[in-house]
Amino acid sequence: MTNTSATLSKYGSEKCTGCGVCMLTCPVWRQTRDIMLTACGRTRTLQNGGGPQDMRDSLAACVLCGSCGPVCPAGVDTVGLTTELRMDLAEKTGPAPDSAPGGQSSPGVKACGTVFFPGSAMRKDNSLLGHALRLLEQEAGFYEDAEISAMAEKMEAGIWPDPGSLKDFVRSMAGVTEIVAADGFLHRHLRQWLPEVRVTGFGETLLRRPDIKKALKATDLYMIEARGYHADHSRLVNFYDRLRLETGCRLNTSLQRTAIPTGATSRQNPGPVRVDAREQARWILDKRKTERVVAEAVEDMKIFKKIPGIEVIHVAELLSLA
Amino acid sequence: MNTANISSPGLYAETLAKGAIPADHVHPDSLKGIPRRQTNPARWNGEGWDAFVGALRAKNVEVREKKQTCLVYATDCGGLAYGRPHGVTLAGSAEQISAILKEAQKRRVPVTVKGGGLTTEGESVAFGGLQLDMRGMNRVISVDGKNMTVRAQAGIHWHTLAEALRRDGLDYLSAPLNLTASVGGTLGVGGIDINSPRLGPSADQAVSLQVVTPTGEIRECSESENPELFERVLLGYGQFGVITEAVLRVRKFTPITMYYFYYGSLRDALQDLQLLVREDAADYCGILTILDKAINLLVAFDSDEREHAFFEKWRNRIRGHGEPGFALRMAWHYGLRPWRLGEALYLLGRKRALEPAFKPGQYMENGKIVDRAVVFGNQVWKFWGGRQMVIPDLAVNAEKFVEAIERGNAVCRKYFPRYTLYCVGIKLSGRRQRYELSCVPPDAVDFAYGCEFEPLLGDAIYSREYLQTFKNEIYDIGVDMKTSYYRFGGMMKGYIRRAFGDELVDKHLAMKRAADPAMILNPDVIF
Repeated sequence: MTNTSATLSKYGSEKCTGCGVCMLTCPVWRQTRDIMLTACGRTRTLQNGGGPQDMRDSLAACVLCGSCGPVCPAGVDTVGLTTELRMDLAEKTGPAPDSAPGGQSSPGVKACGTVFFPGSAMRKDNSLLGHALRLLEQEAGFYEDAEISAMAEKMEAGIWPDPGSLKDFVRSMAGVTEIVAADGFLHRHLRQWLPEVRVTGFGETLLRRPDIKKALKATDLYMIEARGYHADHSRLVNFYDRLRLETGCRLNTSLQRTAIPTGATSRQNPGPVRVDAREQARWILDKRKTERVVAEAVEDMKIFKKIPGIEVIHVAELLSLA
Repeated sequence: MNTANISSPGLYAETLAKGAIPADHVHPDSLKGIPRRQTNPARWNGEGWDAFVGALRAKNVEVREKKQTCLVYATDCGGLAYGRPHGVTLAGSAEQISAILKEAQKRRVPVTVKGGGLTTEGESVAFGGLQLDMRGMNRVISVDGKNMTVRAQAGIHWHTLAEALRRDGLDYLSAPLNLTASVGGTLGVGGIDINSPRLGPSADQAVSLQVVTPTGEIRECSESENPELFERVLLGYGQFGVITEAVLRVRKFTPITMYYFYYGSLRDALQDLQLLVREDAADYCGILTILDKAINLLVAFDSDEREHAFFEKWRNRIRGHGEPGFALRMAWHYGLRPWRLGEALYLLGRKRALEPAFKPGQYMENGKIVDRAVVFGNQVWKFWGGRQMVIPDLAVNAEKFVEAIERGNAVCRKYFPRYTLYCVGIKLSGRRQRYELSCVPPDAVDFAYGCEFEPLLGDAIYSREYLQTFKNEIYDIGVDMKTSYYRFGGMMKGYIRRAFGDELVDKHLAMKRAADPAMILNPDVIF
């Protein structure tokens, strides 16, 4: 059962002043202009005694890109709050009918050192996955993360992982020092579950290699994966700013230095409002003189490929391997 | 009774523990014969609401009546006035707003317009009736790089406008530091920035407007087309129409170079600000203080030429110190007053927090700050924002500036242990009708000056009476000195007649009655 006051204080939503800065970066706001569908609307609803059932459409519409979090002057954990409210709602109503199926586990696998979680979208593209693995072979070992991906999808839908499975997963990571995770949604959760482990995005890891960074051109638009970026914004904002200054490439960042998302990486819950990822992509490109889009997320790459007249590659394709 | 650990030499400075029933802290001298009009106006009784909604729905206008939706609109940025609309409509088009206002006139249903909701006196709070959320109209319509103008829907946030303009290498002229303010709302009240000494209030950058009048006519207006309406709507506090679209002047975007000069004397800083404003010495300037101890004159430039000229001609004429000089002065000041160590540590802590926040690495390029409005806008919320924001202000002419601010500062000191003053100059463009009964003081020539007095409430809880009494005492200075106010209306509308006199207010009331026969548009703001 929802404990509204506990939810309020756990994520700091009682501190929300209603300033609306979070709306400035919200893709749902951008497409709907409806405060009720934003983090601001949700916190105000909670402050006025409402609960998750009063914000069903709003919770479903959120793409959990996390761009509202780093800009919130009151420090409300907007992603944590939305995730928890989704869980409260799922508890009340049961999981959504098309909620994600469980994935294949990798039982007994004890990982160590640096491991690579390619995420479900990259796993479906054998060629890209193979390419990514070759690029990372010096840095990270492949980890069969289907079960983690399934867990992430369920969490996004508001279904918290089974504590036993989570415990097994944490145990299996005992020897791991760094996880390279392509799915940015996982970043905040991995950091919570494995506080000793460094969690980085796939793009960031590749860009540490000078040869890959050098392959970026000033006419490129580098499409940061929004969810991982916002989960570690205070560090990554400087990392990507340096990238921009060093290579001259453009970024999909806003004036708030958040990453403008397409929303394509999100598993949006069923509801009347859905972010139109192509429209987001068009806005990202609008009036930017871009010859090529280099995307960190496979889902983003696919969306940009639907827009004619522009070359689109995945960051792993920056360096062609013989 | 537990009290928060805040001390002040003032008479009524104690704060209240959560849940405590506050004593009445009204200062006996604070009201000076002004009837105490405080807190919410009476809520509209709802007569005819259902028929009104029915008529709108028949015209495909959505009205949201769910309790939780209405409650999201219960208050404004000030967090002191609470109302609850009977229903909310997300603005979609001029035609939709026209339909709403026609029905509202017919059925005498109040319509309260909300943009960013950054009012602090409840001006955008609906005490019953319909809340029209203008943020539904939040798009840029066209950018005209040749004529350097942009046409945008009026519910657009300044930030969203800036985001769009930047793709063309352009920027708006001047906007409030709060980037979640809407363009329409700002044009209706003024809009002050640290470049207002050069560029005037935001309202003066409007080239033309599309307005829906209180009786539902959709009109274009500008200095050449329907000029009377244009002049009434700009700085008109939402009384004479709903601005639905605006054409604004724009300029080329430039990163800026910023300097801070520190003062130990408020008077010196105010006089130096006036010098810079009067002589057009900088592209941006303003004063931001921590108490009246750390007084910061901010000066900034769009171009290297202007920057060099400042250092050649004006730097030696202002009395502000650089950081080392100021640190020495402070050390000396507090060294002689060791019992005020707490204050010294507070100033130091605040400075250490603020300085990097105003120069974040990702916004700095070659020593210049890029997107300074974003940086300032965010930090304003971070360091000065809160669930309750009490920001009374005074808008005065050049001659009254120093005295008004010194008197306001004394009031702040009396009531709060921590506060900030924010002072700017505002360039006026002649004697315009729009300035009448507005934040521009009637006796200001060429420049007006404004100052916000903002207590830093932190986690302390003050009674509403206490906060209101503080505001009253600031507003009393305005009445006493015959000035104007930037925040103008809502809960403080009882001051309007006192400040401007019956003749002027009655003139505008007659115009309002003619334009809005049922007096339904933003009814609780001015009249």
